[in-house]
Amino acid sequence: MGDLILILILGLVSGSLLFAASESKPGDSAIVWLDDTKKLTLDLEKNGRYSIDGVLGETVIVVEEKGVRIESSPCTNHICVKMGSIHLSGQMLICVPNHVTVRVQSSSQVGVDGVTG
Amino acid sequence: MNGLDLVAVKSGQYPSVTRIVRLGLWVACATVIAGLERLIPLPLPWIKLGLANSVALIVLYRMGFRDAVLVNLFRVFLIGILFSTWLNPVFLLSLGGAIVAIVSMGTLKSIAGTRISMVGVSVFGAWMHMITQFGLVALLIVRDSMVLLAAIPSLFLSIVAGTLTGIISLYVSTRLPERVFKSSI
Repeated sequence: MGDLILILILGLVSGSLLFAASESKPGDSAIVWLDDTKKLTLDLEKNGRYSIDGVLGETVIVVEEKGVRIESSPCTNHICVKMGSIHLSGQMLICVPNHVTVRVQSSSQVGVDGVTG
Repeated sequence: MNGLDLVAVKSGQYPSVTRIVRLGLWVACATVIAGLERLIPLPLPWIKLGLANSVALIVLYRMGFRDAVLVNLFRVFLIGILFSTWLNPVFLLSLGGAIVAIVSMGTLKSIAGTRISMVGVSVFGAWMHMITQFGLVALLIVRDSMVLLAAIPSLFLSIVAGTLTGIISLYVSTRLPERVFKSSI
């Protein structure tokens, strides 16, 4: 009996991690990475158009309506362009061939990030 | 009385020598089981039944907390040497998981007493082992809280695996005679 209660509690805690990890808030900035280096920090409050030189060529990143998307990319399959616009904290746009990553951030990070440091 | 017992009696160290021998046998048992388990190919590298932990669990119930901690520690060190993961991140994950598992199982056992059986203690150990490893991955390697999202299916699997190893431990432990755990003079 005690075993069942324990298993139930552990299951509930495991499940609640889902809420902790997925409780994403709209981000207020986006960071553009080229491999391991931070290239740009974009303010999602202001619309704009930015470009970055990756391994293959120029990736164009557009900020509009508090979201960010990749408009054009020199890669062949354009997965990053098809990913569309993102706006939640933690979401990412990744262009593997051009080594470009865009990640949305929130200045008030709460939840699991606070625990893992 | 066998040869080893005789040597021990003559040197006047009967309890400690038999304790070392018995612990050594349990360490060997845990190491062999952990090693064999690693050789079984599985779709995901970190998914395993965790039978080595059931050896520690049996030792915890029949020989005490201190011996169980020693068995788990020596097992991790030996596996680290055998599979040449010594002191690399994989080794640190094993070490952290093993320490947390045995400490949490010992704590739960002493707190809950008879209200929670060996199976419950095993589930708790497996679950703590899994969450520790994912926490360490998030801290040491990936540095991203999304790792914890990936941990959720593994945590449910660990409950299943912990139940299975707990039942196995219970079954094996009740059938092992007292003399494999305690020195009898």
